[in-house]
Amino acid sequence: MTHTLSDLPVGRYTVISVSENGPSDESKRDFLLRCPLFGFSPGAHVEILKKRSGAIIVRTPFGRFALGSALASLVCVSKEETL
Amino acid sequence: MSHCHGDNCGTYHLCHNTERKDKAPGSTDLPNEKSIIRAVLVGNPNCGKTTLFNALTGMRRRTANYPGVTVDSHSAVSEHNGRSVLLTDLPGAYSIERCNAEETITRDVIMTADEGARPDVIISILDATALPRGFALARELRASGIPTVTALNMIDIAERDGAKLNIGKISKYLGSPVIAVCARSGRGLPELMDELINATGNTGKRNRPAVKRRHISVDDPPPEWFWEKRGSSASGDLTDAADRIVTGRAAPFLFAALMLICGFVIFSLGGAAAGLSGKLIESFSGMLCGWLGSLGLPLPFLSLIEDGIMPGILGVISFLPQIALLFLALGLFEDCGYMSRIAFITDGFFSRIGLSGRAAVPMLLGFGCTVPAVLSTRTIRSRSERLRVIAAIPFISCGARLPVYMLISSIFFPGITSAVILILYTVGICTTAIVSGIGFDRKDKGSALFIELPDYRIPHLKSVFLYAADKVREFLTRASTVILLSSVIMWFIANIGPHGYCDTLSENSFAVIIGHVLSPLLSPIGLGSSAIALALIYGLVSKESIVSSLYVLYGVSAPIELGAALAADGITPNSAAAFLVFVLLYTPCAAAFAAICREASPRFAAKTAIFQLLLAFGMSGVVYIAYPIVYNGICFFLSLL
Repeated sequence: MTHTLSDLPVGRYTVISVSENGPSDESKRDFLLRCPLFGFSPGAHVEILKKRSGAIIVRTPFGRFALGSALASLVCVSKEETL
Repeated sequence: MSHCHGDNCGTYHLCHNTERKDKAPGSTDLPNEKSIIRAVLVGNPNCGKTTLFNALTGMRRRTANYPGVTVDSHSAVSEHNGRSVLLTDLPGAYSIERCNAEETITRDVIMTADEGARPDVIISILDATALPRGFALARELRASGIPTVTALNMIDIAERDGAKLNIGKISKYLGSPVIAVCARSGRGLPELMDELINATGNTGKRNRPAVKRRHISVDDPPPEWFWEKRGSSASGDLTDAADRIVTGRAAPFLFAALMLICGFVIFSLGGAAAGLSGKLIESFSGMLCGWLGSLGLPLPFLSLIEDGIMPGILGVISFLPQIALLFLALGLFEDCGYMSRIAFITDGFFSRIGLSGRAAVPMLLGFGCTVPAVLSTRTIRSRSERLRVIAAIPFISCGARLPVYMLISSIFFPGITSAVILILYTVGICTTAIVSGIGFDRKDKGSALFIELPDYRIPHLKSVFLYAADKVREFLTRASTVILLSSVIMWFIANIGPHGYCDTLSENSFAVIIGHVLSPLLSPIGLGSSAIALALIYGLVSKESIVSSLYVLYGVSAPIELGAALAADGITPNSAAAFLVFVLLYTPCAAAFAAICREASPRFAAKTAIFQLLLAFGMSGVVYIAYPIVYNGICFFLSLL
């Protein structure tokens, strides 16, 4: 079973895919196109460090990023701890 | 290597704000154009490009610890071993293949079809503390076919964390020479310049390479063999620990406390310093006027200096301590890494009005100056969001309005000056929030915040002081140019009429004649004074001009005299309150208007300016009418206590 980063609590996860869900807009398209540049690639390990009003701070192999709820919901991850 | 230091170093300097993507490094007119090497600095946001640019050229471009500080390209020439290198600092980019709107400036400079404008060499900058993130762009740059030299910046921090990088393997992987540098200390810079000249073949103007478009896969994680020894990530661990507090439950309180501390320091400490500097300036002005009087100069000339130029400029300059403290506070926020966290902390609030926390950064910059705040909205991806933020930014009280608030509230609301200013700032913030929510379609799409969070660092005090010093210099430059000119013009229209020289604001002066036309428009909000109407018009040139205009128009040189003159002109506390609200909300200065024209469109700028004017009129009217009711209510409440 997969979840998106917006559903999950603080913890470590593995990225399964980054895909569109719901209506697309400029920001989502931009993120979908460029997400590998920020370390959101299938198989990559990410860690949610903080959650706040739907927004998250997430650490990827490429750095630490703040993601709003709309973008966090695009990143599908496995629920199981893998690290 | 010879560095140049500022404008008087004798080295040719070029520093221009390249307006958008159409201006490439090759499009500048330079002496010995044929022998100059054109190099561009390219790298991820916040990897230290501008710090490196400053170190190589002796320039003082703005740097800070959050992504998206550089939104324009800037060029300057550096001399090294008898060779001139035109260095161009480009806005940060994560990719030139998959670029977004803000990165097109960088892409267009590198991928330009104009062969003459193409750079000779690229300095690809990698952050040594976040190596894998920069590889994708570095490989794309290498694939462009333009000779590339890689600079591993912030090597000192990586080494401090215990990391040991294998430069040879990185060089092999990227296919370009790699130099470890520290832009702040200057380490490795001569070697970088040597390598840069070598990369162009030492032949001056070479055959310019054709741009190759080749897609580079970024999905493969870079192998571990880039490190001989991995660092302890001590900086990252400290940042995580700090983030638990800074972005935790107490985050809004911490943010509010920081804002209040800044406000207290700026208004109380800065106010005391301003009072002292005001007295010094007043005594200096008195001495100078006495000396000028003893020279037996003609009366109109003396009046021009004593009643026009001196009070106009000095009245504004006396607020210098607050301006310096305001920009010091902003500089500290920007340099320590807190700015990006503000975007995260405020995201929940902004998402309710259809924006993301990213809007917080330009809005916070708006407390300093509207122009860079409007420019920094380029980092907001969605155009509709961006336009809403641009429309709202002018309602944030910029530093230029501070002298007006200080002067008027100290005259009419002594004892509660800081409280009045705090209320004005709060009204500005609330109006900004309401206006930026206009046009939001209420359908909850969630926040599209995306921002990189850099490690916290101890603010680099030199950078912070240089930033504040630059802003103070800008302020003084404006005082000695725009405000000087507007003071002289204001003196002429206040003292000259159709029949020649006359007393200040006499019925025959042009000021009163113009004021008679304008003042009926402002009478409904209690500002039916010719001088006030003219001062507000001068506020469209720059907001500080309002202070200088009031001094010049009333022919006074001290706040006490100005208070008496304003009272004699029918300005009461409630009309003073209406005046302050009008200054807060009405059309921004010419520079801010031009920035909005450029970033949105002239039509959008005109529409927002009209909206701001109408809103200012309406709100000031409400304040003018409601002031006695509120004031009496507060007095009644206090009497009960």
